[in-house]
Amino acid sequence: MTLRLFGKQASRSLAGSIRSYHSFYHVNPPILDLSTVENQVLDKAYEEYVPELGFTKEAVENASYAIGLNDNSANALFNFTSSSKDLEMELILFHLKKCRQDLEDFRKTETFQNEFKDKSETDKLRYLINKRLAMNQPVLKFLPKALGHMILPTNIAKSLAELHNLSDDITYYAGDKSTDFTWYSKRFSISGLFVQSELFMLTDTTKDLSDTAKFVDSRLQEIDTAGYVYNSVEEWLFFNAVSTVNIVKSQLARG
Amino acid sequence: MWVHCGVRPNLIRETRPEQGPSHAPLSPAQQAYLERVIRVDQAGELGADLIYAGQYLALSHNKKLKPVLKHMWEQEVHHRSTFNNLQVEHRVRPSIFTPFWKVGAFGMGFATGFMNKEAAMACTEAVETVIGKHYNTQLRVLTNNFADVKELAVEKCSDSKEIEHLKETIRVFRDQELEHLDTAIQHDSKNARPYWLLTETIKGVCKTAVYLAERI
Repeated sequence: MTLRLFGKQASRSLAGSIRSYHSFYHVNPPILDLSTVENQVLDKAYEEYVPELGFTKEAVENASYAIGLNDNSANALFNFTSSSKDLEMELILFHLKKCRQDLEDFRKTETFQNEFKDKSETDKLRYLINKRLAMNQPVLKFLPKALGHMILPTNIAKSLAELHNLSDDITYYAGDKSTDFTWYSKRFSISGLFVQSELFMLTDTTKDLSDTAKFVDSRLQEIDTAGYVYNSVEEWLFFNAVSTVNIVKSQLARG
Repeated sequence: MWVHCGVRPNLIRETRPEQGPSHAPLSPAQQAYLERVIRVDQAGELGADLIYAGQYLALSHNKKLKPVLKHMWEQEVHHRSTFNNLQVEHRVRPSIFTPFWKVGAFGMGFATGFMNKEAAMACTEAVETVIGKHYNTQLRVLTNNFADVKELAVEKCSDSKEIEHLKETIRVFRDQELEHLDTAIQHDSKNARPYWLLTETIKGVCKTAVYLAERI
């Protein structure tokens, strides 16, 4: 019985974090649901206290006090409703989700729709990745610590799920139409690229992050080339396999 | 003959709402089911396309059989591109075994075609039997378990255009798959030897593939 309960809970928390079927005629749940108390506390913390205190417990406690809760009630609240029971991690996840939500809102704007209508998928990818990286700038000095917290054994699954959601979002917004294994390789490459770029960004001393942009560009080109090589080899192999069968058949038909 | 994967003009296109969504959100279970439906059907139609490709490669020298195979193959290509579109637009993850389905389906089609034409037709019969049943199950669930979704404008439950479109697509495809089944029987599928072993093995393979493609 305990086991079943546990399983149910796990699957529920998974349903919230993994984005599935995208509907057109039905309302899609938002990436970040600001109607819950937890998210309101986190939102307040993220907007007002994180720039000063970083992704810390204090930021959340201050925020819960500020929106009229007891400053200790954040602990109680998240103890019951979050599966991590870890205020810092919840705040970091909030940052990740908020960035994704902003990206989603942005790609629906007319600016993006018009400006990138005729651009290639790679162009869109480059733009969106840089856009997402730029969203890190306000919290950049707290990012190394946050990354350290994200890769703790207890948190890594959630961090990776968010990373996958991000690369899934970006590839979808860029107009990806892959229907086979390419679907996976694209998303894995983008996830890898994003992590590498984020780490590169931490040491980037240029003001407008132009070095990071260059880094993203070169990595994207590598991925493009790898995809081209793979497709060419596959096409060549398939062509030759079919030709071989046809040669054999023609030889047999000659009798 | 080999360049066939492009999008075809006679695709049943899904419409898009002009003024935002018309219906309340689907429940997580309903979403999960739709995702499963699209993933498994896409993998299935990919398999069907490649089975016919394999059979065609092995049997296209047979003048009588060539147009029959070609007709069925073309319908499968259409089915496949329809589900490819659904998968892309509804952001459904394709089956991770896709490369394996490709090789397996093409191999099965070619192997049975290589045996003789009766074996190829028995293969079609077995596959289409499983697929027909599978589509019927999906239609039943889509009819029975999606009736509780409310419209946004009025307090009334109805199927959204999206669900209607999916049901209609599956219904049309199911009918075409069952036509293929009849075609296979007309072309002596029952004379294949060993008939029972062949059809039951292929049915088992198809059911396992369906089980896996629904999930991963």
